[in-house]
Amino acid sequence: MTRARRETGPDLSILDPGLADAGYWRRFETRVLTTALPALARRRRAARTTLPEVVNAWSRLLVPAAAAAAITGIFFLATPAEEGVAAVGDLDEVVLPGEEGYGTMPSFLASEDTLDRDVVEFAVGDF
Amino acid sequence: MGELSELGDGQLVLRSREGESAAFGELVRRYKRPAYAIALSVTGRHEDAEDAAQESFVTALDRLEECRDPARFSGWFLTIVRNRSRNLLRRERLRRGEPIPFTLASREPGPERRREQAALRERLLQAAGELSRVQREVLLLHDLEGWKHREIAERLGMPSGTVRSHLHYARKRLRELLSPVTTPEMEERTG
Repeated sequence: MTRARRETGPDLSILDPGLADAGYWRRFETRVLTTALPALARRRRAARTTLPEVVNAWSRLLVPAAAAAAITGIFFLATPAEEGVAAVGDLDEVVLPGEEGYGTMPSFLASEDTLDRDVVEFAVGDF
Repeated sequence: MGELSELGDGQLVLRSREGESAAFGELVRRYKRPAYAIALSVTGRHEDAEDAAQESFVTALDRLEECRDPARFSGWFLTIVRNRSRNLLRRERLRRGEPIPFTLASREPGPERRREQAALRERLLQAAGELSRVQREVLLLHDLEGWKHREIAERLGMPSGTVRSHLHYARKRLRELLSPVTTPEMEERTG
């Protein structure tokens, strides 16, 4: 097929199936493209996916999740808040004035248990 | 169509990924002959080479996303052709002994000349079968498909000097193997 081949190499053109059959390569292309048609169609469909379609697909997940979050929020808002406020008061009572059955922080630090006292001093030192 | 023929492989691959039939068609037009040559260099039979080359195009279309550098489509694609040809050859060996479909000859019933051509083709393929795989590929891509040394080097991923060396030894060996049937005209041409 090339000039260089004709000058230096054995003639391999007999191996070209298009030599004796002029329509060979055309049929070859047609067969390949016919076989590839379904794959090409799939690719076109995938490429045509628009932004609204993407949003729609996401919304199938997002809408139920948002609804669940809203219901959970409403539930907590409707729950009485007194119990939570009382918990903060309990902490003050333990640390400062003391509570029945527990020692206050100053009395704990004055105790004989030096190891625990050191640990507590180290832990609360930054406050 | 003229516009597509001016596009590089990279653009054609990107457009084929979008499902553009014309772009994929241009890739088929561009690489059908090299694909056949590579497949023939592996299988050594027209029918198998034809099947492997055609299947390779469809496989490549399915896997286009795996072609990480679309501009280097040719090297990637020819690797697919090589692998499919080997697989096909393995399958053929497994069912050796079964009758082989008579495709090309039955499609083109011909006179005495066709039989002579078939005999010569068979002899050439047998001789080419004596070469190494890479020698066959280089020989067929250069001497059958007309690719330049530089193109073969780029697409097969080897230095240009190596391509020249493979081509030189492939031709020399082929001439030795074909010498009993080489015509004086061929001798003169091949030096």
